[in-house]
Amino acid sequence: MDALLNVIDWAEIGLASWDTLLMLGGSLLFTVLLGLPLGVALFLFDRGQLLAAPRLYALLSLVVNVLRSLPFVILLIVLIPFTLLVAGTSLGVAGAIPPLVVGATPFFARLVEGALRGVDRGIVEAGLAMGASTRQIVWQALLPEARPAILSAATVTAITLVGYTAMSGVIGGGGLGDLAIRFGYQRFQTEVMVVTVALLLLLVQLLQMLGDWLVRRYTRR
Amino acid sequence: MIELEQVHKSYALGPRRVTALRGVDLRVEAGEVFGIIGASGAGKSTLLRLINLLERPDSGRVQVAGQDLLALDEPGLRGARQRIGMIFQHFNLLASKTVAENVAWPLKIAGRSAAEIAPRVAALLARVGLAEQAHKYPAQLSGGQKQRVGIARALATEPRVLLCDEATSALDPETTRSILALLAEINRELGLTIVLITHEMDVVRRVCDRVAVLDGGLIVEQGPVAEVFLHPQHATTRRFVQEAEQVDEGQLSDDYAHVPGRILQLTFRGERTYEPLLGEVARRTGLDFGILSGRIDRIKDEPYGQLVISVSGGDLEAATALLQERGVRVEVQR
Repeated sequence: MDALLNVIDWAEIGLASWDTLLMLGGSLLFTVLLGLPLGVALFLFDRGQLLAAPRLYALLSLVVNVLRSLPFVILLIVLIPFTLLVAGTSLGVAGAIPPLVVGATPFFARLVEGALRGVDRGIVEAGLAMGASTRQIVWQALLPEARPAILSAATVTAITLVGYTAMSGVIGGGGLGDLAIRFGYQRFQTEVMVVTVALLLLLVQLLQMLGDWLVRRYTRR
Repeated sequence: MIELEQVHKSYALGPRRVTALRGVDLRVEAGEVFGIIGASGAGKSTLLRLINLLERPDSGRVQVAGQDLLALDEPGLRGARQRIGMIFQHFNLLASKTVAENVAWPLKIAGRSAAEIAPRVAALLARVGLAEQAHKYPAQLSGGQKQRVGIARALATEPRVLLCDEATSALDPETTRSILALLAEINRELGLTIVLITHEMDVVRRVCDRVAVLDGGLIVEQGPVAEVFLHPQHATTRRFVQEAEQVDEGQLSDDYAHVPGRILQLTFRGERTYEPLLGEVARRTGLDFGILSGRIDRIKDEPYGQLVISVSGGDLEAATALLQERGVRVEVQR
């Protein structure tokens, strides 16, 4: 066992873990920043909602569906010119974040749209009856009411992003997934594979626990 | 205070158009409690929502406190709505906010300062008897308490009008009574004009001054509650009254079939209800009477009695004249 573990370069594993955390944190941040407004827009523009605009909704919906139907590995490659433009490099942590964000934002936006739909329509009606503007209804009622569902959506998105970061190893994204592919798969170092997978599992587990705790904390039912 | 003129409203339901209101005129005076009663689908919910333009009419006029609401732009309408409170069947409270935060919401919307909001919220919660619950969340309250929060919230911006959308339909009878008592108190003390919609005649009887009966998108009968309740003209109104009194008209006429003589319905109102009038009339006119059915109750604050009696012998005309002279309404049923 000791001999097996000695094969592993722990410094390399530590570095890769750090890279994964950076990619996850950075991409989750931008995914939420972009996906939340996109989700709110999808919700508001839908038929029968506050800013009902069926054509605009259809257009946004199409863009979201197109991005969601592309396999992430393909998206990684297709987006290389865009990534170069935004991040200055298509390699490493910085190079991985733009495709991660583009891949996860439509996913998160759909979940946010669903979370807002879950808010009782009576809440919107009460706000309108009080003379609230759309902005006030969104900020003061819809988002607070949907907060547990949105936190749950962010948790699911974060875990999806962990999976995506592993794939970004394919285009030199770094991190645990990259390590697993280069050492575990290409050099047949099964030990590295096992350790990276264990670490990814641990990360997913921690994210889920954190998410569940946040949802519980903000649920008032 | 509220004037609707020839309002029409229809909806697209798939390929069909469904007409909710077909030319309704409604006038609610300042300070009165006005009830709109109708079966589900009669259009009462739509009618109520026209008053604060949550629904826009296809045609017609909507005027509240002298203001033509249909002529207002977006900010103007928002301002007008801040002066019209509304409470709901399912309360529509924010589950993520405390009781105090819920009551503060309309004040926040209206742009009041935090320094102004805190004492106002405390006073409102005291008025509805929830001072102790300020920091609880709606899920921790009973249905009646939730509606009290709804009422406090609706009163926050000191509106002149309160719209009640089936406000007691989700509550048990006892809680319904306490909520209705609170509404009556608010009406008395603040001079607030209240419009409520309901499918229960009992709600109308307890708090309303006037009532309109809505059926098939039209007002089929309206007037002072006592008048409409005691002498319903339209079939729909009669059905509501009988439902409230748990009377089965067919059963009754079967029961009376073997009763000899004439059948009269007498209606007493006000303090006269408690006077020993019938015995006196019988003595003076030699009338024999038997009581077939009767009830003594209240409509809002006024006592009333309604008796169905069979009469035989004596001078019926003189008896009728005597009763009418004493303010009793006499209707010959057979």
